[in-house]
Amino acid sequence: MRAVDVAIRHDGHDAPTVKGVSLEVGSGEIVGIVGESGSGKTTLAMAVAGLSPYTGAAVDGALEVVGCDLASADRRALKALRADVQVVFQNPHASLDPRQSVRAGFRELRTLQRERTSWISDEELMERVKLSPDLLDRYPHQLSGGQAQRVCIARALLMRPRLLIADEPTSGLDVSVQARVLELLLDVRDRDGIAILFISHDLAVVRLLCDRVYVMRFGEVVESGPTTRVLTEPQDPYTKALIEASPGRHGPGADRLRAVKA
Amino acid sequence: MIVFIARKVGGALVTFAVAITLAFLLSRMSGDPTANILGPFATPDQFESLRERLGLNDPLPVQFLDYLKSAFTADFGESLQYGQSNTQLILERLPNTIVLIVLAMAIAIGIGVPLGVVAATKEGSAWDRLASTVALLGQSMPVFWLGLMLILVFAVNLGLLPAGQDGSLKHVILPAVTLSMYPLAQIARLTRATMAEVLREPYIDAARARGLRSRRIIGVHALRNASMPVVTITALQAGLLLSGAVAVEYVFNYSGFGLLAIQAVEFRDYTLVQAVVAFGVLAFILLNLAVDLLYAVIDPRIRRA
Repeated sequence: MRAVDVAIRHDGHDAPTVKGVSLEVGSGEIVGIVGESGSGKTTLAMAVAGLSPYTGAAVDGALEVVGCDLASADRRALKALRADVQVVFQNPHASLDPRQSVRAGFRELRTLQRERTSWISDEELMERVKLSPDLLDRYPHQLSGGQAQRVCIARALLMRPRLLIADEPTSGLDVSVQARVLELLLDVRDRDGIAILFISHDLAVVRLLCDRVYVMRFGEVVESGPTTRVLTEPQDPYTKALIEASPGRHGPGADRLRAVKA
Repeated sequence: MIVFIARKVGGALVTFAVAITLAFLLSRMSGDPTANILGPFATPDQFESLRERLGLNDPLPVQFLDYLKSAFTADFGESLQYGQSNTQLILERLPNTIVLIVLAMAIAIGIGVPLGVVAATKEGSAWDRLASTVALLGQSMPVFWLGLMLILVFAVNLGLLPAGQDGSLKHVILPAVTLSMYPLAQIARLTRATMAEVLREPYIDAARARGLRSRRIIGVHALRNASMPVVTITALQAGLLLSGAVAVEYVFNYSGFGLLAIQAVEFRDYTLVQAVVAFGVLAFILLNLAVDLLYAVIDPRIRRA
């Protein structure tokens, strides 16, 4: 995906939430967007997923996602795009319909994209995200946070996407569960070659997972580059402040996460 | 699930017992029915022998036990007013009222739910304003006034539909429309509110991100999750319609359960009042039980509770 000089404005607000942002995600790449709450990370991600019309946001600028220009895309192109780009949201329980069992959720996607989803059975898919197939008939309230997030990832994988947008996928989970979910995301990239746009405010997580990173503040990108470079030799004062303030830098969570990557 | 049902049934029995006790006490407090039966020219001796024959001279606890026995054997004795079996009187009138309520409920759901859904998906639009207006009118118009206005317009001025009585589908239309207004308003309002709330849930965004069609998202994911409060209010309203039917049947002189209840109360027909109350309460309780069980079907989270 490529975004050039994108600005996003919300209904009823004069000031744009995101302004003049350009970013790129190459295939098979994990790219992070970091920034504090309200910096426009999620707004940008929703725009990339083609969800802006539903959140009441207007997008200006060129936004090209897996070869599809969002501004001129028709319904058919959007349908293809919705399969090529999958989103994993922050709160796994809230992003699952409480009246739909795991299996019914898969079935719904299979009816939507019959051929695309025929590559794997429900049971194999569960094993792919390291869940027991016994959970297939559970409802969301019978799953733990980590299990629910794996189900969300499984649903995304089922569509064989080229880009996965992960919007703070681990911030609602315990640290130990976080590590397992991140491990799964790395595995998704390594085995399926799916590019990931990873949105987070947690620098420790970004450091481990992302190849490149964009730092956002007040709707603008203040710094970008390879993750190690940006986090060890930050150029922008805001990035420096963010790194200084990062709570996970020396904590047990960070160690745990480092152990996962090793 | 069995514990769930047992608990609900137990609660229902208590409600039933309290309601029929109240019906007994209140009717005894309302005065002496013998005056209505014998008329103004009867002698004191006649009153006395009638009271004796009806069991009204027995101590209250004895009368109460008699009534309890009748309530559980579904044999409520004879009406003081009609000299017919009370149970039979009620069963004769009940079908008319059921038709009336079912039709009113069908109108209320058939218009109220779509109106609420459209209003919620297009918040602030003309449809939304229309729904709010209907809801406001429906809730604030008294039933008897609305009934009279409908009679004036459709029966008197336009001559399209009969103004009263019963017997054919034509006769039910105006009473049913009148009766449907209040639940229609409630259902539309609640559907709009819960739908608007559900549509803001992340799983709706998630469904959109997966590329599901709007119709499926609104019709399946949103409506199913918004349906709980709507089912509740619908069932509660169906129970309340039983009391609403009293006023409507009176206005349209529609010979149903409600009209029978009014006639019983006016005449101090103790036995008939008691029978009517017992039947009414039973119907209300059965409705509520049905709703509780329906919940468990709609929402998998309740089955375990």
